[in-house]
Amino acid sequence: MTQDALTRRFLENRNGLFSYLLALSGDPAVAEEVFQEIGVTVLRESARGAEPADPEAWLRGVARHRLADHYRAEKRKHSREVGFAGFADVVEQAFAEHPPSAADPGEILRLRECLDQLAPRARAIVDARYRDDQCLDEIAEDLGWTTNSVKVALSRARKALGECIARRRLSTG
Amino acid sequence: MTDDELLDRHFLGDGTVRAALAQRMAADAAMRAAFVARSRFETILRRACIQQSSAVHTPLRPGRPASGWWLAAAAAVLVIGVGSSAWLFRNREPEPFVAVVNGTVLADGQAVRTAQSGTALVVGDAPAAITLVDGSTATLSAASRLTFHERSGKTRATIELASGRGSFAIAKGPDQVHVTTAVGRVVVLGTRFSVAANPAQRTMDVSVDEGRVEVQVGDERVLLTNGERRSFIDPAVRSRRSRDGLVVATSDGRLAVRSVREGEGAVEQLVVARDADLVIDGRPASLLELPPGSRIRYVIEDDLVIALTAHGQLITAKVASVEPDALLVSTTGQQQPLRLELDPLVEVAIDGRPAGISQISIGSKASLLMSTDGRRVMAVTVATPKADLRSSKPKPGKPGADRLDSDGPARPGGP
Repeated sequence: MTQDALTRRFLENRNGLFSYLLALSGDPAVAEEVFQEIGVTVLRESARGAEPADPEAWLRGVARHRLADHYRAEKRKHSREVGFAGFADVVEQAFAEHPPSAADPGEILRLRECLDQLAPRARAIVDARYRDDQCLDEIAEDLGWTTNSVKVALSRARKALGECIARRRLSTG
Repeated sequence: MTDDELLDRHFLGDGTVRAALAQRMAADAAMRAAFVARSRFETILRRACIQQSSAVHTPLRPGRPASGWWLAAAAAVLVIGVGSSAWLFRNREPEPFVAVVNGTVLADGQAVRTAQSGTALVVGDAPAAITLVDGSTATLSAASRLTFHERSGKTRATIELASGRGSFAIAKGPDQVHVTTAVGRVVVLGTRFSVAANPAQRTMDVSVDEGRVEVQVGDERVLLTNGERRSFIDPAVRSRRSRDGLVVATSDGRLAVRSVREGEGAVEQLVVARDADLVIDGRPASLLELPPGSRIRYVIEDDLVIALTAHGQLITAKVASVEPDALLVSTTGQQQPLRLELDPLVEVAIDGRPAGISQISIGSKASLLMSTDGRRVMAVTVATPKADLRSSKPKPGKPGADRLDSDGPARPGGP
């Protein structure tokens, strides 16, 4: 596999890899940081002529190790490291059973259209969480709500978006 | 704690639920599937929010910069290579909006497989097929030029067809898709149709294979349905007419022309617009510089001449010699070659391609466009013998290269 081919495979599977990192960490900021490190790793390894037989599994392995490294380096988050290996095993099993499908640009478009249909307040909460990476406490403080209210509103918004996407998927065949 | 609550807390970064979540996932395949689906949904929701971040949605408070970096990371990986600084990954780059599924499509002269919204695309020398992010498809004729634009307000996508022909199958959806040309706009919700844009003639042809489209041209709105086809012309040029003629006389703001189309003796008196675009022998000029007898092509709009180009005679001759600033040519009835001075702006084309004067072969047949005063050659068009054979096969006993014609007597040395 050429350097270009390996790198392209990484690009093609970027969403799946990020999902995997997000699944492992539950923290978008951590997932982002580790994803960057993986990008550099991919380049370095492909320059060395690495030719993994199963690039997706190889990338997940790199992700897992980089995330473990990250947790070890972040002493403040030591508690998160506890049980990480066991958790990572079951996450790996889940992703091996249900590999994220290749990027479907139509799905992003449908989701964007669904976002447009959210009520302004719900949209603002979704943006605050997913665009601006605000935690629930920050959002609640800005709104003058309780954290639990924000959590419920966010959950409802996600559900509405999921249903909207499903409807659009059906309507567009 | 319910499965949903476990997933919610995990994806909010609550590490305390990890053990419980792992236990549930280990015991239940459906939970593992739900976990993967949720992580994927969280990913695309972040991407969608970052892509769509705009002033439309007022943030709760001035937030941190959006962190839609991973596409930029991916792109930067390809472009920059090992040793890139991590900060480069923070730059955001738009998602591809279209993908080439068949054929060759160029952007900035380079073949591309995907393109972002707003990228000017040119189809190669064979038809190509493109799919949009919403699943709509476009089949494009060779050399078509177009640009895809992503959502703007209630318009799902806009396809700007500069030239060429496209057959479109628009995925059904609640919002409109627009196909625009220089002439007008085709508005669709979901249908199959074709649009051909001819910028030179300022026309647009629309045919509908399935469904219904609304064509908007100027103030006109036309509905076309299954099997209907119609040509539209740019309203701005509807009243324009282009004609060829010979100048009889000029005066301040007026022009008398003997129209070639209307035959000998038919002289038309015309008023020239104050801001008319007048070009004589390839140079901007005023009406008073236009000598009688000049051959002109002029454009009339609302009974006013709005554009005029003037040139001299067109001569067909055999090239006897080439000098840096002149041509020696033989014409019918002339014993001695004529020396014709080349205009400094002379344009030379050999077999339809731009060329230099030194590339003209001795003995070749050339068409010479003279200046209005007959003194200078403004353009030289040469067809090489091989190319010439394709266009005109000489008759036996009458070699074409020896037959020299002109559409009138040359006037070397002045009128």
